[in-house]
Amino acid sequence: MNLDTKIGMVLEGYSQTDIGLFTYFLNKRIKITEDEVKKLLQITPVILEEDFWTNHDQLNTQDKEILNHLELPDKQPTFQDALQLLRIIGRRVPRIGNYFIRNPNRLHDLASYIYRNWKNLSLIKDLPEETPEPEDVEETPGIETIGATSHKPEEEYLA
Amino acid sequence: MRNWTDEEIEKAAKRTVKKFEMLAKKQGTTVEELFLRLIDIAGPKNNAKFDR
Repeated sequence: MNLDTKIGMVLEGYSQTDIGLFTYFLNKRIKITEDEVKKLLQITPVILEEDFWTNHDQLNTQDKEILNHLELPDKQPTFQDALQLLRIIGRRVPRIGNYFIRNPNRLHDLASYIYRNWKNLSLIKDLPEETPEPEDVEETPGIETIGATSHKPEEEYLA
Repeated sequence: MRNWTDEEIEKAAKRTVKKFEMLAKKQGTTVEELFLRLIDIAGPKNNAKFDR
């Protein structure tokens, strides 16, 4: 796989990890053509979509909340859109920006994740929130109960 | 090639950071930690061995 192909794939939205994986196959001399690599990459988003829900179910509540707090425009992004969003977030939160500069692979992976899972990330926002358990509410005396005597059991009234 | 406008991206970034700040306060952590956790969620654990 030559450099042009790699660059082209990154621009198409495939993460460094995907490219690393297929480069790994090629380096291991597993017989796989460039066309086959492209075909495999075409089905990757479908696999990832199924994985998303599996993984999402396995996440703890705090992690799910993190995903829910990711605010994305209401339109399918391109990979470049997701990348730009993360760069701007990096400018607003300098420590994250510095992290992305030091770890460009992570920046690309996260952008790729947003690009591929935008639909799922939008869908989970529409899911009804878990209803909290009703809390015990301490009764405070109302006007009608002030000065009232203790309640008698219902049987006494019925007797 | 882009589909989101610059304005939409700016707004999304601003709102995300704001919401992460609120969540960080709620979870008793920092915005940076939340983003690192998000990066961790987005990247399968096995990815590392393929990254160069």
